[in-house]
Amino acid sequence: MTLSRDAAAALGFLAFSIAYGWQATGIDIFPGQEYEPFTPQTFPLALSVIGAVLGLAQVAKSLRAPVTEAKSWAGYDWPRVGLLLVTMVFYGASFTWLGFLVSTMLFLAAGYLILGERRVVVVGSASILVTVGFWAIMTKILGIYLAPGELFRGWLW
Amino acid sequence: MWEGITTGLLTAFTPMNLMMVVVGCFAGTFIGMLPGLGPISAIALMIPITYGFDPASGMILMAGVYYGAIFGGSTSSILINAPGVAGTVATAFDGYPMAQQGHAGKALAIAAVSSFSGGTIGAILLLVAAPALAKVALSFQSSDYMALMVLGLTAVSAFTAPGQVLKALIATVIGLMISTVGTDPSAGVQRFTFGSLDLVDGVSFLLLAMATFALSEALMAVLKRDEVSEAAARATAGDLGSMRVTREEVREIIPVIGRSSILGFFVGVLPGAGATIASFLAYGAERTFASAKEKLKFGKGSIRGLAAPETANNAACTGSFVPLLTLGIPGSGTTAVMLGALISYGVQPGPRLFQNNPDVFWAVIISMYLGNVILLILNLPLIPYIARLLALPRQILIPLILFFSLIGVYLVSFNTFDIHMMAGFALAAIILRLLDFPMAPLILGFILGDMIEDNLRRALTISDGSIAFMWERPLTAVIFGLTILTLLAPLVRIIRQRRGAMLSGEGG
Repeated sequence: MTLSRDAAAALGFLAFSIAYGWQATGIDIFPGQEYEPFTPQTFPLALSVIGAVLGLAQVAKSLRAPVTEAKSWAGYDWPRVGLLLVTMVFYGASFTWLGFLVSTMLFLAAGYLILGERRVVVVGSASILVTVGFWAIMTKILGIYLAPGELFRGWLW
Repeated sequence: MWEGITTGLLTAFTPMNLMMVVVGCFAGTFIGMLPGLGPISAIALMIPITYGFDPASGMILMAGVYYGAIFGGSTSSILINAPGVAGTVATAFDGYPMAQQGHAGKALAIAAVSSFSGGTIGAILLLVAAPALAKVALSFQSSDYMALMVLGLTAVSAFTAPGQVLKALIATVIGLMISTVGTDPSAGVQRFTFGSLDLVDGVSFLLLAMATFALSEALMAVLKRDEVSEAAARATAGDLGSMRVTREEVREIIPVIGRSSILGFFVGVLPGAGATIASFLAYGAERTFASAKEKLKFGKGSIRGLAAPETANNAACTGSFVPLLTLGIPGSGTTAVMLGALISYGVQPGPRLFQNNPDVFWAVIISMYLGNVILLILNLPLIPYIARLLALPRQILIPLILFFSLIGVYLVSFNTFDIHMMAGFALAAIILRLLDFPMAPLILGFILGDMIEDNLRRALTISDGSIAFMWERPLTAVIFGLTILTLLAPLVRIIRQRRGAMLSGEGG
C-alpha cells in the first residue's frame, strides 16, 4: 500500500507529537511541585496529547480519502531554493568573521547570480550600493553598530 | 471619549506620526502589490524599523502598512488578476474584467473610494465599539481570557479553506508547541532548549513571522517560478484609462458601501473570520440583492461586485482591531503580528491599554482614518508609478526581500544563530505550505501560546486544580460552548454534503 502525501505528513506529525510529549516528561520540576495543579510540564503534555489526537484524526482522514493524483513537486525549482537556503546559512556563518559589509555583499551577489542575473555590472553595483547604503543608514544615521568582522578587526584597530 | 479622541488627534497629528502614516501607506502598497507578499509579511518587515520608535508611532506605521498592503493587493487583483492577499481575491472577480475592458483606472478609483468608505465607517464603529468593549472586558477573569483565546484559535482554523480544518488545527498546535521552547515563565526552568544557550530565551516572534511569511513567501515565488512581476510590468506599461467615476455610478455604489461596511466590520470583529470571509460574504450578499439584470453583470465587470468586497475587506481590517485593542486577543494572523510587536514595545494590549496607554489606543484609531485619507488622495494618483516599481526584475527583488528579512531579525538580537534558525523555519514553512497547511494559525498559536498557558495556570490555581471552572463560571462556559460549536460547524457541513450527495445519488 502506498501512503498519500497527506497521510505521510500526518504520521510525521503524530511521531513529532509523541517525541515532543516524551521530551516534555523530562522537563525539570522542583521538589514538591508535582503536587501542584500546574507545573512546567502540564501545558506541553496537554499539547502533546492534543497533537497526537489531531495527528491520528488526520491519518484516518487521509487514509479514507479517495486516492487522487497529487500535484508533483518535481516540477518546482528546488535547486534554486536549496541554493538560496544554503547561501542564507553561509551568510549567518560568515557574519562573525567577514562582518556586515563583506558578507552582505557576497550574500546579495550570490542571490542575484542564483536567480539568473548574469550581468556583472548589475550584480556588482546592486550588491555594493544596497550594502553600503544600508550600512550608512544604520551606522551613520541610526547609530547602530555593525561589527566589521573578526578577520578585519586586526587591520582596523 | 472626547478627551481620548483629542489625545489621539494630538498624537497622530505630530509631524513625525503623519510621516509614519504616509510612509506606511506607500511601503504597504508596494509590498502588497508584490506577488505572494501579503500584509503579514509587510508588517513583519517593518517591525525591526519601528523598534527605535515610541509605541504610538510604531503602531501608526504598522496600521498604515496594513491598509497599504490591502490596497496594494487590490491593485494587483485588478491589474493582473493576481491577488497579493487572500482578502482581495473577490476584488479580482469584477475588477479584472473591468481592467480587461480598458477601465483599469475606473476600477482602481472605485476600489480606492470603496476602501476609503469602508475604512472610514469601520473607524467610526471602532471608535464607539472599542471603548465600550474595553469596559466590559475589565470584568473578565483568567478563565474567560483563556476560553476566548482558545475560541480565537479554533475559529481561525475553522474558517480556513473547507476541508483543511484539521490541517489548520495541526498548524495551530505546532505554533503552540514552538511557543513552549525556552525558559518557563513561572518556574524559570528550561524547556526544549537541548542545552543550547541560543534557545534559552525561546524563539522570537519576529523571527518566526519573518521566516514563515516574508522568507517562505519569497522562496515560494522562486519555487513556483512565479513571473507575476513581469505581468505587472506589462499591465502597467499600458494606459490605465480614465479614473473618473460618474455620478450615476457613485449613486449606484453608495448603498453597496453602506451595507458592505457594516457587514465587513462585524465579520472582522469575530475572531478568525477577517477580511477574506468578509469580502466573499459581501460579494455574495450583493449578488443576492441585485436584480436579475444586474446579476448577469457579476463576474463580467460589475461596479457593485467590485465595490462590495473592497468595502468589506477594509471595514473588516478595522473591525479586527477591536479584539486586539480591547481584549489583547488577535483575531487574525495580521493582528497577531501586531500584538507581538506591541508586546515587544512593552505595551500590553487588553482592556487596560485604554487606561494605561490612551495615546497608543486613540492614536491608532485616528491614524487608521488618516491612513484611509492618504490612500485615497496620495496613493491612488501614484498607482501607475508605484506599479512600475514591480517591473524591478525578480532576480534583484527576491534577494533584497531575503536580505531585509534576515537583517531585520539579526538587528534585534545581534545573534547569527537566528539567521540559521530562520533558514530552517523557512524550509519547514515551505514544506507545510506545499502540504496545504495554513501559516496564519501557526503564528497565532505561537503568539497566544504563552498567554494561554499563563491564564490556564492562573485559572487552575484559583480553582484548586479542578477544571470545573470551564462550566461553573457562566461566561467561560458560554465561550467554551461557542468554541465547541465552531469546531462542530465544519463537521455539520461535511455531514450535510454527504447526505445531499446520497440523496441525489438515490434520486438519480
